[in-house]
Amino acid sequence: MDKKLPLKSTEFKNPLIKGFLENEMNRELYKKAIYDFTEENKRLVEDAFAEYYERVRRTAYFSSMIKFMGIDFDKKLRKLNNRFMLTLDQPLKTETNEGSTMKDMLIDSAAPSLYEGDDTLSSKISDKKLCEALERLTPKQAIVLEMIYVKELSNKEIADIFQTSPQNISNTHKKALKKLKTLMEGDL
Amino acid sequence: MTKEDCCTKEIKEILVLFEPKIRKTLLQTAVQDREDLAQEMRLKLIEKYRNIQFNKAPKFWDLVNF
Repeated sequence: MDKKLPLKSTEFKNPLIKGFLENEMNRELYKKAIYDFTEENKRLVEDAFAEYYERVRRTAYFSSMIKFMGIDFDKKLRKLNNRFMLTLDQPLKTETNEGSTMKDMLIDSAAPSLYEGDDTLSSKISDKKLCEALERLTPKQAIVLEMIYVKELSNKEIADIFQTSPQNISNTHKKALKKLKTLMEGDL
Repeated sequence: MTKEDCCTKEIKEILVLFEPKIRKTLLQTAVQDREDLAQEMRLKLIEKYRNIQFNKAPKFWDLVNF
């Protein structure tokens, strides 16, 4: 801001005046009016200010109008969507399945299964003794071992399939290996 | 409203000026509804621009207390 402009500090703080004088042309008009304080010069500033004022008002008004139109529109849509819900989006009536909808019950038959593949753990192992030991594991242990070594899934992925924690899978894995080891040693 | 009424230079300027604001606001709406909303916003802009009357500006020399 030009230092020559005789403005008191309180007037500087008025954002309207500040914004108005930030414009080069308005500042010139203002300066002219200050140094040559005629009615004509005063009127010029007044007109420029009125125009500036209206532009600010209009911008503020339209900005908030657009903002609230967006919010209202979303509200309206949500209301309509709730009122005329698609069959698949409707919540299930059973109280036990809280939050689940009809579409959660659909099974995607085309989705790739994580179990796919012909190889099994025993088909990959040639050692007869180890095969026998494998058969003495619990089914869960056998499946976990197969997933880890044949399907090469991570603990996390296996945990997701069994709906348990990766730590649990890791435990099962460790126990299975330990059991295999003792079985192998015992037979020796 | 005839075509000449709503195609003035000022209205075009307003539409261009507020286009970014409209686009930004649209981001919160579902993709399939954005076009609808944008159209309504632009319509409203034109309508309001033509009809709205703001308060008279305060007198500059009153504000400045010269």
